[in-house]
Amino acid sequence: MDTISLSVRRGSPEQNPTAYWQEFDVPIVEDTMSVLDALIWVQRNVDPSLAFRRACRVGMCGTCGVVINGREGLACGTLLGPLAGGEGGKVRVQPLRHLPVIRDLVTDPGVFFDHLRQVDPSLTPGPGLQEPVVLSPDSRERQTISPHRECIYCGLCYSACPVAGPDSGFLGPAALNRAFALVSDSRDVARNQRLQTVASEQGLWRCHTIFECTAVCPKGIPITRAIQGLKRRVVVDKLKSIFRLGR
Amino acid sequence: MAFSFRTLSLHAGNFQDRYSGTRSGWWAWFLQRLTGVALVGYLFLHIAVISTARAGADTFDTVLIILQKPFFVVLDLFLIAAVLYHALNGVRVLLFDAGIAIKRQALLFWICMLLTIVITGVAGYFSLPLIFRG
Amino acid sequence: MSAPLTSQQQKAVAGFWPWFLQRVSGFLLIFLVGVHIWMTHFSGLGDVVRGHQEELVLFEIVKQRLAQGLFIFIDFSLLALVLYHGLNGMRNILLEWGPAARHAAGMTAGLWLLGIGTFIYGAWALLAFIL
Repeated sequence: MDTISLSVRRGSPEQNPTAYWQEFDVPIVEDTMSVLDALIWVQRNVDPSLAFRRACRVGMCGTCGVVINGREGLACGTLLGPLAGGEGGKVRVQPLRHLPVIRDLVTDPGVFFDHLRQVDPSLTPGPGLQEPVVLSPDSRERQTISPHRECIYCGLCYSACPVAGPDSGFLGPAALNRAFALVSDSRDVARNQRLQTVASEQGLWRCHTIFECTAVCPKGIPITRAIQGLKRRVVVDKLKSIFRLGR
Repeated sequence: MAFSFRTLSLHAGNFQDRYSGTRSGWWAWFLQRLTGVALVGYLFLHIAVISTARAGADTFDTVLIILQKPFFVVLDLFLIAAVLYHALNGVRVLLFDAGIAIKRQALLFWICMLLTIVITGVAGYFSLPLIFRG
Repeated sequence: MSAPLTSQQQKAVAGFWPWFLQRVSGFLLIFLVGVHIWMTHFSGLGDVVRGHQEELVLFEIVKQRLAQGLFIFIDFSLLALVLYHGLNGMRNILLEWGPAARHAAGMTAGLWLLGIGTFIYGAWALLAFIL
């Protein structure tokens, strides 16, 4: 049976201010073994104190996001074998970036969800709307919105964004993506309010189209496209108001 | 942790972890910042050099003749490369702002790199007589 | 489609103008810097190589070029735009750095002062060729 070396970034701010790497030799039991399976194997067979989060194990819940070999990914959705490249291969697992570490691979996603709350992430229906109001599946509006509603709030994009690190006030990709999904939805009446929130110094204008968020999204959401869509709406509104065409 | 090749390799791994996974979009942005900051630095030097004209035409010419020696012509080529990259990637970003080619960002980055290298190469070819004169 | 932003909401759209003008100035600079580099480094290259001219840039050459109104216009707008674009870019970077972001207003004012001061200094230097 092939064995690979799993390096895990460990430590907690209270116990030990310096984080350290610990290596575990993990047998690859099956070809379909994921990074999460390896972490569970370590916890059960080597060190029960290893801390990480997980829930669904099938890529739906967005709980097990970590940094694997320098790349954000869901531990459950990343296969170990190809990463390690066979016997003796190395796989490094770190907690998500830009979020405070609680212990080992467990981070505090508070900032991430605070930013989400800032954009008022739920739909504000108009007074005339009676449930259920459905957008036709083949309408252009539905097709624009659909991919952006796939978000599972795993925080991978926030960790991958090079701007979110230095500026913790930046709304971040997930919140902006959510705002785009709602702003593009004709059933939502809080459009102006939301545009105002995101078109701020620490919102839209802080995005420099680096595309890291789009690259790591486990749901393949074109996040950068959403942010650019919001920018264009604000620019168009602004120019319209300047040339008095918006009245 | 005591020093060992293992810890060294882990530290190397840490560095690798930060930069190995980054993709073309990150490099495009990083180079845009790098060239941007470098060009701001150059701008102030450039203005300082031009202001020697206030000390008279002779002083200006003395400085400018030194700055046109082969060594500085080679530096100028780096300047041209920085300006070209910054401008080309600037166009790339403008396209994204207009909602164009957002899906093709990686391809556009490589086009920027290629054009930067090719045009700098052409400029370098025509500057060869200045580099190898005297 | 709901209505565009009201004027009250427009006022709150902070950071729009620096972002927008960075793009406008960048776009214009492509042409201005292009002409500038071409005129100073390449248009006279043939003459230098053939020995008709000693150097690419000398006081008299710049003076002759700046005797034309078009180049006065190009050089002064280049100076202003490149300062705006460069310092606005620096502001963008600094805003992502905590200590500077906490004093954003002061930093922005400082950069404006630096920009205006440098423009005056640069214009004074350029006038040496014109007056």
